[in-house]
Amino acid sequence: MLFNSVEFLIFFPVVTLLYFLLPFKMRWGLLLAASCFFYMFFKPEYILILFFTIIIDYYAGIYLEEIKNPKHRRWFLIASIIANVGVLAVFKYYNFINNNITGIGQYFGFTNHIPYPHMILPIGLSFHTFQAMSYTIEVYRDKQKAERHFGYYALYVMFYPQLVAGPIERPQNILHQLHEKHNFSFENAVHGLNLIVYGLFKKIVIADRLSVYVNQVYGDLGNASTLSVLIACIFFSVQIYCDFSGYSDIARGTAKFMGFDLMLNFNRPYLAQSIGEFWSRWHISLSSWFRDYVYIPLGGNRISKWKWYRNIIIVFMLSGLWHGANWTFVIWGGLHAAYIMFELFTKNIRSKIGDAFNIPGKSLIVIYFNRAVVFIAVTFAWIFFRAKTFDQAMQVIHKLGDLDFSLNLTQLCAEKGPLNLVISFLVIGLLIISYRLPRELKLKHNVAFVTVVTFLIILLGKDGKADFIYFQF
Amino acid sequence: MEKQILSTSSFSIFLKKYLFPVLLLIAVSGYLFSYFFEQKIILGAENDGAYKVNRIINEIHPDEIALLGSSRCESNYVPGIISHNAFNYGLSGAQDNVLLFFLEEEVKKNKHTPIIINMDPDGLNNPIGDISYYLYNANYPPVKKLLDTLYKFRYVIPFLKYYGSFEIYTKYYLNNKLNVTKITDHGGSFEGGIVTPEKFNVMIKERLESPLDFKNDSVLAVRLRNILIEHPERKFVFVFSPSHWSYMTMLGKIKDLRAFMNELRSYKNVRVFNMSLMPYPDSLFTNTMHLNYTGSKLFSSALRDSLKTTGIIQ
Repeated sequence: MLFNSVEFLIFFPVVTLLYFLLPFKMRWGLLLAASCFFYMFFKPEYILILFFTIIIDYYAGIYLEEIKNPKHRRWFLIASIIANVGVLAVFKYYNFINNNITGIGQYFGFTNHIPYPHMILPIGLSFHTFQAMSYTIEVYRDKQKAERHFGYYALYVMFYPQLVAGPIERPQNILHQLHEKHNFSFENAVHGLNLIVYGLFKKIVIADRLSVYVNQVYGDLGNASTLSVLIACIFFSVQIYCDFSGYSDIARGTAKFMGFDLMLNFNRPYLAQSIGEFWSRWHISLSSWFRDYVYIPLGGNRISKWKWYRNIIIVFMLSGLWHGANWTFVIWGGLHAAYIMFELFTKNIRSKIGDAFNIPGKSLIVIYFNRAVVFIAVTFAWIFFRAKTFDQAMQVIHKLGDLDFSLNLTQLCAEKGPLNLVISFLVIGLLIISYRLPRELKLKHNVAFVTVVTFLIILLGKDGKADFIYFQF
Repeated sequence: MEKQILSTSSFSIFLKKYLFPVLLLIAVSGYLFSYFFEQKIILGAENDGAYKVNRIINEIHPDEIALLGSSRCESNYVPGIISHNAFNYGLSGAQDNVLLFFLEEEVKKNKHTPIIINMDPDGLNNPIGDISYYLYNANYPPVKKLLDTLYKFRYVIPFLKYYGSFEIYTKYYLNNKLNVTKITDHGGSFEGGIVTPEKFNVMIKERLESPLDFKNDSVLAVRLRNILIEHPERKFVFVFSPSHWSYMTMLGKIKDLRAFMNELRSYKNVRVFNMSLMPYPDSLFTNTMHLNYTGSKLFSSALRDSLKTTGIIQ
């Protein structure tokens, strides 16, 4: 079920009302049933895959707690991770690996006979797999007690607000909340609705609007000019941010209404002054997952310089692969790794330049300059994220390099007319204005806020139930 | 004990201080806004499909010559050239079920002017075009019937019923007032620019890879026959406007098309003008199905001359 659908408009109040009406003991059952319904709305049979990993990790958690022999515990953890990664490998990476085998085979002159089964990627598979893995790892590390109640554990993985696109929660944050009794609270309800409405605004008004131009340009690159490609690249940066952070806002809002606190997933990432800071603001739940479960176990930065760089490359390449089974995603991750390493290499030089010109690090010029550089670098990397193939990404880059700034109205408007372009810039303006609001949307004038934002959604929203980009991951 | 959770003051405060005020404010502001929007924007642009649907239902212009049809009608017929009292009701994307709806509404009126109908050579089809055409009159029974499964409950709610369509109305309004991207004339909407030969050649190539057949939907055909038979007082002029050679080349079931034309000709109150094969050069087309403004002016002049020669208009 999509958050931006009429079905959810009915589902959410019904489930929430029932949640507060039911006795506490029955609430987990309601939430689990509602989560199953929510997930099965997409493709019912894939819930079996979800249950497979839930059962594996539920028992893995119990055994990891009960078994004292470190060797055996380690094997249990590995088995559970293999089961989870195995599901991912089959559904997400099988065809990708097979394609690469075919490619290598063609190069060396042999034919690949491994079949290509028709498989659809279960929605949100990477999200709930990672959430499930964080549970077993935390139990293994003795930082989390194993959950003995199967229903609560299943709910931990399936809690509908964050089931298909995160935030990827940690058991320490969410499991105990599932056991707690939440009474209806005015503050939670108002705060939750503020987040939901703002998230819908980001998705329906901004992301879906910008996607019209972006799709048109990427779909007809032959007729695009440098200027139209440049606009499309900038629009995509904003689109993907609003699409994904909008989903996270709605997820946090629906949970908050019922009294649950989900972690902050986006913290105004385009205000970052370095790529390192960008990653502490963008998709926080994923970047912290890789930090805690890959980067630090590999040694983090407390090792030799070259091993440190190796760790950075590994983490970002994996992050790229997590997003999609395509080399374009790996390149996207690789670019970010390169950016980070460039920042590390040039740290001293940059501070020396600043000193030489007597520019204080916190002056407005430096702040805006840094933000612009980060935005340009991130936007460039998004080209590989958005492009369907490597060739398409290169075509976009070539178009940018053509430096064709002719003001052909048809090219500039990407055949959608000037009004669409004007509204696109207008909604970006609205996003910038919304940055003046408190970060957590705890406002004084909640009624005015929700009224105005709802009005804008109806006025400027794109009809048509567009999928969230991150659903495919 | 558990059930008391919702009856606490917290929930009633939420309803009284938050939810009801929000809903009330949205309802009032939305109603006022949509009233203004309907009067000024939707009904303020003659080239807007919603205006045309409203005009055919609710307005009577005794001397008006109605030009009916799809986007080919909208973009090929310049009303100002054809007659000083012609109005172009062509709707982009709409096909013959919409045409029949317009015809049925037009013949309800106590008028004696001819009705000019653009017939697409691919026959009688069903798409209704953009939903925005119908929202203002969505609850008028024939429109509701036309929408069929596309009708949604929210179309009874002011403001909300236009969700997703405000931009389209604004676009029509601006086009009508400013003529920036299109030239408008009494409901007609025309492409002013000329397509480059390279781009047009791509269109020709695509067209030559897309065969299509003349289709005669029996239900629509019966509805059309009934109108022609039941209204001998009106003159129905069916026009096949110019199509690019590549389009006509790919058209199949030509025999059926000829039979359909002959059937139309058999009615005493019907005239058929087949101008689809007029040898217009590529430079007069905006794509393989539609003329540009220069082409439309040329065709409209030719049509006007034919209508005058046959005494259909003065």
